[in-house]
Amino acid sequence: MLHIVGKVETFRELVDVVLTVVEEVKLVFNPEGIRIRTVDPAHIAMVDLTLGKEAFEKYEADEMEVGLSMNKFSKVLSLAEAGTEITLKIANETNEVVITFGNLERKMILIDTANLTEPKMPDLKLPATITVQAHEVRQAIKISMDITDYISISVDENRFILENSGDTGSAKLELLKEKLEELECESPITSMFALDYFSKMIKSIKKSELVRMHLGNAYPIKVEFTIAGQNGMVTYLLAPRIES
Amino acid sequence: MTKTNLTEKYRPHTFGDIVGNTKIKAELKAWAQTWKRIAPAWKGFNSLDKNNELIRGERGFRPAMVMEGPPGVGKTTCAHALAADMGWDVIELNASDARNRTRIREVVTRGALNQVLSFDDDGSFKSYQDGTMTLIILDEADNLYDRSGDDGDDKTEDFSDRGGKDEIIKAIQLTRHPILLIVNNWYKLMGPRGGALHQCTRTVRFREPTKEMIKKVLGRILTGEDVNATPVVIDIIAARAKGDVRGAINDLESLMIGRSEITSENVTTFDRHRDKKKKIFDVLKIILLEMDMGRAIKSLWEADVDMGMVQEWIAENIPRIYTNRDELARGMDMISKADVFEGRIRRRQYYRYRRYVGQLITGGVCVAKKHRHGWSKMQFPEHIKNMSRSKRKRRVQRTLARKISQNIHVSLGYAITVFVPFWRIMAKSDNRLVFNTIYEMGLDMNESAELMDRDNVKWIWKQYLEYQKKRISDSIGASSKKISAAAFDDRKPISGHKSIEETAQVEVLSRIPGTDGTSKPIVPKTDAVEPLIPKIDDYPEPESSDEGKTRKKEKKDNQISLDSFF
Repeated sequence: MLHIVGKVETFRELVDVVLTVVEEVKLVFNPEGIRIRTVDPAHIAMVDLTLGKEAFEKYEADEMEVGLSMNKFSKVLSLAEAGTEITLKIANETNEVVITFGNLERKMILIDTANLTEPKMPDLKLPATITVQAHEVRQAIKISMDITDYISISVDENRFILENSGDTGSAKLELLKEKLEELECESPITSMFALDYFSKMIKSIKKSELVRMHLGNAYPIKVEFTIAGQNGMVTYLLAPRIES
Repeated sequence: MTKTNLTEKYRPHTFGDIVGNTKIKAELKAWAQTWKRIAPAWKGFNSLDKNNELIRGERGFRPAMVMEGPPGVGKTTCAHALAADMGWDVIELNASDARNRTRIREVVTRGALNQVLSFDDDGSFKSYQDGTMTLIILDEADNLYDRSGDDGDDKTEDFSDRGGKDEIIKAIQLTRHPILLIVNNWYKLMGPRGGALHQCTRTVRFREPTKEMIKKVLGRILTGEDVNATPVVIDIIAARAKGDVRGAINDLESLMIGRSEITSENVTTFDRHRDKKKKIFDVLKIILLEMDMGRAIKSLWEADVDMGMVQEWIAENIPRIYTNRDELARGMDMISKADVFEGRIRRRQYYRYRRYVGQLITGGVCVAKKHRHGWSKMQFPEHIKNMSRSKRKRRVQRTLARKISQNIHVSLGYAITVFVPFWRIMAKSDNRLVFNTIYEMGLDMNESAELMDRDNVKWIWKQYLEYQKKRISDSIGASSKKISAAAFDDRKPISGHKSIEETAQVEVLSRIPGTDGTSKPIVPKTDAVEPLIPKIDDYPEPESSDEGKTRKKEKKDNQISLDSFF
């Protein structure tokens, strides 16, 4: 049994995060909240999302796994005005979720979860950690578009640099230690990532949020941030690009 | 997979467990090992000269491998086993996934350029430089539903694989990971624009396992499932499969349901043969090389392509096999006789003649020779290649012919065979005719370029658009009525009828170079511009008909889109 009532914004945040990686996903419900862990079809990006029951107006759920098309769900959500309360219901022994808001109702057949695998989250040890305002990184990505399709991130004891340089020009964001909320770095590191993935990921973060990034040398990046007013936590992993 | 069936349960997971195809296994293994060796320094196939040192001694190394073979011989199994043996991760795109350009870019191209999230048990990342690679598998790659890819303004979210092939080629050229394409039909994969794909791939062909091999596999399953079966049963199933291992296992599974022992009585309900299509090459072999007329005729019904296609293949390949002049003549004669019947079918819509076509192209061609022939290379029909190459051009010609046919009230076929060629000759040096045709029939740039060479047409179009602009600025109203009617009137000199009122106009027109027939053909480049347009404007106004009005309306619709040409 599942019965959740929450603001449309909460659901949108969840959907936006998941849609950066996959279109169909398995949601794991338990009495305390929702967990999603998935990897994209090219096995480059992984997302791990937990959303506590406090994020919702009403939350009642048994332990259950639900397969849902985020694309379709997102289309339904786009019809709701800001602040609308959305109700999600799955009755026992049924194979569909009922989404209601205002005078509308949408029933969606659930997806078989057997094909939606859940990856293992590795316990990565990464030497560098920085925390920064999401909008700073957003700006850096916007200015980097149309140069190359990858972005390089470097961190040393004093600064954090996001850089994209190619034949047609280059763009750079440099933040000194004082401008950052947090900077820990044992030795200088550099890693390169696919820009389209990285930008999608950053765009799913609210501008006002703080982002914490863990990095290593030519190693995957781990990005952590909160959603739904501190009630949810998201961890991204993104594999580095092959150096050329 | 919803439930584990026997095929899944007994699918071999390593190369060692796979029956047969030893040579192919060795080749795949060698390819994988080369990949592993060169990967850290590999810069992509399109920067091959930089990589020259790398693949020295690896003759014919290509970043992607095509696995070709009939269904059920173990291509996919082999691909997965290879990945397992090499310790590689697998990214897979099946026929059940939408495989349009975007999707392939998202999964294949992206996967080809990035490292994968792959971790040791202690949580440390396994990097590409340490040899962690991904095997990218594109299953049923020949079934990409690939429409020409260049008319890409269809906004509907579709399941077609438009542009998929181009994206695959791109991915292969850039890839840093090994790519495997699995196909049933190599020709279908290569098809149009296959050259680039051919260049960056290498092909291995899976042969069908023998009956004995299949029997071995079936025996293993029977032991594993603890079911008894008489040797006759196994023999029948294996023979019936004709090389399709998966088919054989599925047959066995259906017999095993609810039984612990299978006897020959259970098998009697089976057809002796699984329906299996013969490849075109086998069909050609029977018809062109062998002497058995009966078999040749029958082979047509087993072919995996339709009759028209078989005919094309035979016509293309007769000269390659029938080297004797008389044989060749007789063979081609049979094809032409078949063609006569084709024509009769089309004209009378009497499809019973198809049997003659079928028998002439198979049996007829077969007995045209005096003795058996040896194998020689067969080729894809040139005619079809040409047709697909000229598709765009033919489409333009057709729309041109349609406009002509509508305007001068003849059938489309008549317009194509009679009017278009003559129109072309007339238009060769007659700018005015082309101008009027464009105006009258609402031709577009491409269609008018069919009438005369492109430089001239461009010049005419410039005039035409200027004229149209002028017409708008002159404020439409009465004057436009005059123009459209006048332009309509223009046609008369073209079709040769001159009325008394018109003689004056013709005189005016004859001052324009190239229009009177006496002066030399002009190549207008510079200032011959002036007279052409205003003169049309100056024509006297004949009585305006309703037809003229509707025409004007059509013109206006056309005119808006025309501006976008410049």
